Amino acid sequence: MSAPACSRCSTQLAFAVWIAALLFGSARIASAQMPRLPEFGGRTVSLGQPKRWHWQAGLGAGPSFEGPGTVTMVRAVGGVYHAPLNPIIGLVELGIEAYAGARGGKADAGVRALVQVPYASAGIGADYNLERGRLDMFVTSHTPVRRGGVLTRGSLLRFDWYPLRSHSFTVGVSVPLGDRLAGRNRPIRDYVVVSGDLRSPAPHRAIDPAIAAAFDSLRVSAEWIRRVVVPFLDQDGRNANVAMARTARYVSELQAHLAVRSVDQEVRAFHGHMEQLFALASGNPSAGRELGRGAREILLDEILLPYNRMLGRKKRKDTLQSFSVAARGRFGGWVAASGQVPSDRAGHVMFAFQQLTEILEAVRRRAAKEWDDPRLVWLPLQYALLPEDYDEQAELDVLLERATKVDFTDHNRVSYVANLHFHWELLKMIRETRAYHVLWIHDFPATTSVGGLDWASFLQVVDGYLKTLADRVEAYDSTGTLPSFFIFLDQHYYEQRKSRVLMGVLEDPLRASAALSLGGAPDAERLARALERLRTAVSNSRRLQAEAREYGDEWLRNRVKVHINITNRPDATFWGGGLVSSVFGYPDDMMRDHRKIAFRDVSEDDPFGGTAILTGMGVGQQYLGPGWDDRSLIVVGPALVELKRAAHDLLISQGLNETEIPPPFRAPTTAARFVAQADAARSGGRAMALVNGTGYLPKPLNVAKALLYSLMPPGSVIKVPDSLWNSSFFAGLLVGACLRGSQVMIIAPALDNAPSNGFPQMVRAHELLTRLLLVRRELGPAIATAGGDLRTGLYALPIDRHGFADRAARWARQIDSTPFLRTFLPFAPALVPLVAAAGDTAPTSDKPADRAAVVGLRPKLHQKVQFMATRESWRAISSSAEWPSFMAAYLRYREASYVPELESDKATEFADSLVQIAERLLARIRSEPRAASFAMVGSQNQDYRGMFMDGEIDVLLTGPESLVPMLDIVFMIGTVTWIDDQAALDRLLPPVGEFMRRIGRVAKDGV
Amino acid sequence: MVGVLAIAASPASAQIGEIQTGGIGSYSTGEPFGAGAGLVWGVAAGRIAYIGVRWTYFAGTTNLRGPASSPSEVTTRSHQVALDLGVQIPVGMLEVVPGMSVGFVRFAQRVRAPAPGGGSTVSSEHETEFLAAPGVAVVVPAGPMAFIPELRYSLAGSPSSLPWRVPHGGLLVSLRLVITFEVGRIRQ
Repeated sequence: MSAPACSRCSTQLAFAVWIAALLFGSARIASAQMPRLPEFGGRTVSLGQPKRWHWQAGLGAGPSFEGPGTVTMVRAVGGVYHAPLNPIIGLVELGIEAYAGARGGKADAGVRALVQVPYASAGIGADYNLERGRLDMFVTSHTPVRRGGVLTRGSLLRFDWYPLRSHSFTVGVSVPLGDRLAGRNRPIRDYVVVSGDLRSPAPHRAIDPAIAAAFDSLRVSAEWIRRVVVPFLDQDGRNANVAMARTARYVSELQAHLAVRSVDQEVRAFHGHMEQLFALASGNPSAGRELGRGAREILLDEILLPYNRMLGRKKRKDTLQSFSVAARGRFGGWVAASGQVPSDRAGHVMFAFQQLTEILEAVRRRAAKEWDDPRLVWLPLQYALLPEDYDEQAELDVLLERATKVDFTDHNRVSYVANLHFHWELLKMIRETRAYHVLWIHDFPATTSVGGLDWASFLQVVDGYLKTLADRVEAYDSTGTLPSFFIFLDQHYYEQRKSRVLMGVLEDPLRASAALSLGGAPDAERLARALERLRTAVSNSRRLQAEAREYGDEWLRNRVKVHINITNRPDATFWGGGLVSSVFGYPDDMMRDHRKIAFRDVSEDDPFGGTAILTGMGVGQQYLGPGWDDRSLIVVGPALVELKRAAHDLLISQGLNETEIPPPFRAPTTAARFVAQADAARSGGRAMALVNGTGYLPKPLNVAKALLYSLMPPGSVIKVPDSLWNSSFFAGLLVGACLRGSQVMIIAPALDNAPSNGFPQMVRAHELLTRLLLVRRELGPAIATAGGDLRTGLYALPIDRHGFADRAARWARQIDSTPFLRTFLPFAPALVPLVAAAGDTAPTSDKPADRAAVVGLRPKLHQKVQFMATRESWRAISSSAEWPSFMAAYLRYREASYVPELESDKATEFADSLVQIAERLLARIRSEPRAASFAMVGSQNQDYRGMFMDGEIDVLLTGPESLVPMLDIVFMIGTVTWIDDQAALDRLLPPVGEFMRRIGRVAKDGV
Repeated sequence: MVGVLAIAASPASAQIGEIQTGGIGSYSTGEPFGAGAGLVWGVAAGRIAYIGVRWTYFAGTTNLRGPASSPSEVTTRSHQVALDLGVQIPVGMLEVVPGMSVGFVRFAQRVRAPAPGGGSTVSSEHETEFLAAPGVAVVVPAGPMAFIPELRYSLAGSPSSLPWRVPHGGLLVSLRLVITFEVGRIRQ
């Protein structure tokens, strides 16, 4: 064959390989019909575990400048790649490639080895050309151009440059092979379109100059409402001093304004102006109030709530224009139908309403500029609500539902559990599973920090999953049912903590080896016994064997396993924030699933048949014991249906399609039954599960927090401890709450007590707390005049050398010596003897189980529990006669759940008694509508990462269940160090240098 | 490709802290350099990383070369276009910026040589060479302006096609005088 002919052949071959690769890379499960259920021969689809090696094929072409003339190179490339470090971090990836094609008129082939930095979308390698027998260097770079892939899902535009071959280069496309999730496991859009394509009508014109002029005072008032509801405290500057001086100037402006007009007066003045203007516009002084009422309702529905619902999300076409047009249409219709405005004045009234919408747009624009980030724009609901519109539990509940589009459900039974209680409950829950169980967690480590086998995870594998599977298989011949187990685990910690070791066993227990790469011989023997028992049970089950004979061995292995779903895998095709995709952008790989949930048997058919644990912890021994201060909720009731939906949405977002969704997470078919059963159930708590999707998905949890912080009525108490208190936005809202008369307590960990104490997190916390001290100093009088208070505390607990007794003694001591605590907690002085006694006699004090003390661990604050109550609620709670028994039960519970060696049954018993006492405590305030209280428990930190990037879940509770977290926070309040001056702050949370401060600010979205 | 993609993009996206724009005066003892002046523009992203461009024209020097009996008058000048990269490290009220300039130097040489029959002939040559200049600068803020003295060592390629060989590297002392504009974050 001649050379040109050979070249043509190789070119054709290259194209054939490329087309095949494209087709293969984009292959999907072609099933269009709903698959069979597993019990009837169907297979449960799962994401599985990521491959250690991945394959790619590509085709490229470009000029070769070597030799006397320029010729064209065409190359088909295939390669295999491996990340020796955690692939999520994207630091290094090794690859081997082979290529074939044509160069000019000659066949061309070669092999390559390369090292890539996935985060930089670039690499360098050695290219050995077989035809020329020569080794050369090459540089490679790739970009997906658009999210999801340049041509097909997962495909990349690739550029290879040969600097030593006269700068020859090729440009082409590469596609992943055998990875059906590539290009599919993130949303294609990394933004939400704010203003759609609604037609803009002709604007209404001011016919009466008096009306136009009258809007000036409304405009000014609107701006002040924005500044006092969400004050901006995150000013930057050339250095920390300049930045702080700017904050001080901003605060002094607030101070000057508040000296003239309080927040309440400002809001009422705004609405007064609005009504006067409508009266003027309609020519009817008595119509102003009614027109104002209608306008407020429509502004709330059509502009404020829809826009605020996007809090924390990237925005495109960020204007209120289409919302305003919709609001104007609705208002115009309402005015016409109401008959309150003569037809010759309708234009004036519409002009007034249009001006109102333009004022809101101006507020939005200023907020976006001030916060330097449209994701942080919150339009105060005070533009549409008067204080009396949100001072009752029912009113706040409805507003929360309207803002988040998530419904409260009643009759939820909630238990609040501390620390290692989660470990016991998870084990119990796995064993009690009837139909299905989901463990949705960010950490399930196989290895400890010192390289040993994590005994807590191992115990869940052996005594939880494998034992339960064996029990159920042994009973299968008589029951005919086998539960399905699912684990959703984010890939970051999966890699970091070598979870593959344990997940491999759970994913294929019928064939997995008991020889683990971690742990000793006793562990291997224990695992071997558990696996053997399961396999024996499978082979002894006549029913299972009969079904396997018909459905096949693959079906059997799919039926008897834990369905492992490793989520948020690295994907080179998803970038955001850049010029074009990966060019100066950042990858979605940075965004993690931070949700920590376990639930079983949740269904719409039987909303009380399931249980869930929502926690801040992972599985693993590091989370057990007093060194990790965390909390979980055990929930039974209809609020859990939201979790099932969230699991469905997670799998869809990760690349499965509807037909692949496992049966437990498919859409319900019996909504009517759900309602009927819920109504018939026992009394219990009102709860709402709020789920922030990972990455660019909706973030209703942000909305709920912002709404509560900005609307809790004057006199409320708001207590917000958190391990990562970095969000200036949430802090601004809470300062706004203080200015309206709320008593706010913000608690962050000291450096030595922070579970995540990298310098970027700590410098941001220090900067924020410094500004809160400034606010307290400068705005203290204005806050006090409104009836509020702002306190910042640092969780700076020493090592508990005598177990829980140390904490109790500390509480008693601090309550005794801190005047403001005795005022704020009027019931506390009477409890001091009781708690002090626990400090003297706690049974754990002599036990060797005080591991934290033994290894010198300070307690780490990790709990993300918040409590809010109106003045009426807090007064009634404070004056309850139940406090001694409440505190006594709490102390017993904390002692029982303090160290792993204690018994779980006792802890459960004490937790139940706490809820019973809380119910008695609440009984006396049920009849008071203004006695509202909320508790939030979940995974979201008070930081921007939790707002913008990570998947999060919180449960929002009202009713008696909200009081148990309250008691826990009351106890914490008595143990933290309250900060009144900069020196105390600097001692416990030392400031860092200016360079680190700048890095902290640049990285603020991700820390 | 990256350049094309960057130019084609509509939303600029970066963590921007400060824009610096102004002039630069430089001096180097090398024959093609001498005193120079030019323009600078840059962005201090997050006030951590400086990325900028500079253009500097050097007046160069004129020397007599060749045999003493019939010397040639050789004028060598240059101008530089470079991308500046640096890390801004705050030290008290100042910022120390270790960094590197990468770009090119265009050397130009004009030779006036005595003509064999009397008079003189004039010829010109130029050559462009790669430039890398590591160095350190100190930012001295002064209100809305900043003085930025800097010291760099110029490592340029040798302009071998010029009629007369000239030194092509060496120490370069500069002073930038820039106006600073604070800018907000664009990345979202």
